Amino acid sequence: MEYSKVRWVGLVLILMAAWIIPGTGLTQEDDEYITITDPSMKKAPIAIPRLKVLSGSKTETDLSADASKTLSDMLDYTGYFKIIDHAAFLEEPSAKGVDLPSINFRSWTTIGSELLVTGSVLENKGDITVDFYLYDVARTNLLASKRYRGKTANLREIARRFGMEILRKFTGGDGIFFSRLAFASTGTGNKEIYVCEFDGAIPKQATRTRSITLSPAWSSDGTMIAYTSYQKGKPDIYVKNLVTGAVSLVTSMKGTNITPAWVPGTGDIAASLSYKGGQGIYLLTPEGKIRKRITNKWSEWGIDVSPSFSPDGKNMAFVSNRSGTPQIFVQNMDSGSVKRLTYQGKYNTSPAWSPTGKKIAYAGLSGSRYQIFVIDAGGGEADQLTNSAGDNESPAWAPDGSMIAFSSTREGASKIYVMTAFGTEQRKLLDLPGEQSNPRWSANTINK
Amino acid sequence: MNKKRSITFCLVCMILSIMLVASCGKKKVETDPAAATTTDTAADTKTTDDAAAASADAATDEGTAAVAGDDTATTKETAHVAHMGDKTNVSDIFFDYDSSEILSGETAALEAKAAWLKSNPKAKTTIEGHCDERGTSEYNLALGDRRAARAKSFLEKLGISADRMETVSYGEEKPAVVGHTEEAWSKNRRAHFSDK
Repeated sequence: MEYSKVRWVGLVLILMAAWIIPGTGLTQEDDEYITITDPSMKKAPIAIPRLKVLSGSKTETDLSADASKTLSDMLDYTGYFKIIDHAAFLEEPSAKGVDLPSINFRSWTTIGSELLVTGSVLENKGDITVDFYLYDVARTNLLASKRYRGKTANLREIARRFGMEILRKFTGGDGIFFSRLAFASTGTGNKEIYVCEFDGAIPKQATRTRSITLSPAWSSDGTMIAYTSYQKGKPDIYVKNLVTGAVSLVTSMKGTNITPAWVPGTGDIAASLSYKGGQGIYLLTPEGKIRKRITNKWSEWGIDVSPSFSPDGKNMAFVSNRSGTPQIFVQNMDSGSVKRLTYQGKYNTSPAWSPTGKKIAYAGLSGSRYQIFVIDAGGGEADQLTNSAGDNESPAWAPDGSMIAFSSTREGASKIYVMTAFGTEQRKLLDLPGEQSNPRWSANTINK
Repeated sequence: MNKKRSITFCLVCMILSIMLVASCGKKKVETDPAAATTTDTAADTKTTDDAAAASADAATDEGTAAVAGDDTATTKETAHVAHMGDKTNVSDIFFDYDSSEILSGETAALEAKAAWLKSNPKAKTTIEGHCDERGTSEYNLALGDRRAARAKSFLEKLGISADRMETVSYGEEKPAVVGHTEEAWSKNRRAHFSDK
């Protein structure tokens, strides 16, 4: 992969906070944010030439090309930008200057660019200093500039940080570059939980249960994953702290303990248990103490599973077969009132409440295939986002609501795919042995 | 393509079965009918089924007639029974898509299971609830739990003590048959009895 030069070191992220010194703030015009809810949004053409090498060493030249490529790939991934091919460039800023007085904006408007990123890199015995500049080409002004210091191995991290600055200019939010995805994968012969970066890079096995393990759920701060595992011979709920590596059993009550979800703003976990007959959703402390049953027992044979909370934690979407087939319902956590959300189709499951609070994505049976749909949290007509020959399931929103990850069998074995929140630009997230399913996207945690 | 191949396979099986039944019937049944029955039960299910269909007019002697007389339900049951103790044991019961209701066609199997548990009072069983691959893995874990729980409840009503039965759901995680056809799915929508 392009990122081969970047090696993941556990401490890097913790140390980076100390190493990275933001550049001096420069005057900026009032920002115009991209409205990420606008499906007709035109991609912003952006040119990201190689960085200027300051001492001229081979290492710097490699870092220069790497930084340009890494930042280009990250921005391309978001779907907001059109990366302009280097072959179209009329000049190489790396050969001239990279700061405001040195930029010939006409060379960039001519090739259709609206944005330009320049920068420089200085390497000395493994220590690097990287400057980045973001220009608005049409208005011929500087939008952002930052200086980063670190080790050569931190280049991806540095590119990621400036990528976040660029996204901030256009969306007003922090974007997704500091988020991760968790998913289930059968690569080892057992279903285990894996974690990768927001763009599929650096996948790592997170659980080693040697049993069936699935349904990962991120804690709000992105440090812990709750999941279901058969380590004791039946489905129980565990939590793994990804920082310390500690695993704790949340509950192994009699019966089927599945589909954990963290309640926003609290450390509590909602999960579906069957110990009292009827598969119902309960509220648990992280230690597994049952606070209360959330969904009412409506039948000895009823099923209520897959809780997903609104970002304010006030409402919970879930799946119930109380009306005969699996459908999505929304329950108000204070009043307990329940409203059916989906009426289209005979099998609607896996609700995922969007981070903006306005939408709920889910998987629904359309014809003989499962497809991803999005519906207003208040109800109404659903929009079908996928239409492939395979089954598309388990939608998960990116933390800024701009993208949706899901699993699909469109190419045979189940793999993880991503698309924009409007269903465009569907592509495979990563190639791993075995089958992957149950993707869940973490919060964007800048200093993990 | 597949259909054509299975039809050819069935035809070959039928012809072979007719030859087998005809020869068995003539040589063995007259001397030892019990031996003939044992042979049939132990034989490959496919052969037994086809023998049953083919033997209706191919053989008329007592031994094979008993096999031919079996109705579909019994023949189906033969596929998942093993003889333990002095009662017929049952290893699986089956369900409709997205349902945990006990089908009327499966009650005989559950009654046989209850009879076996009664005649083997020290035996315990773990009832595994399974689903076909369609639908969501999470929802299917719940559906598998309901299937196992319903089978357990049915056996309780037939007088089997709850403490002799455990349930565990595997959802769609452990299919009995790998495949993406209704034939495979119907075999995977099951409650499986794992006896101890």
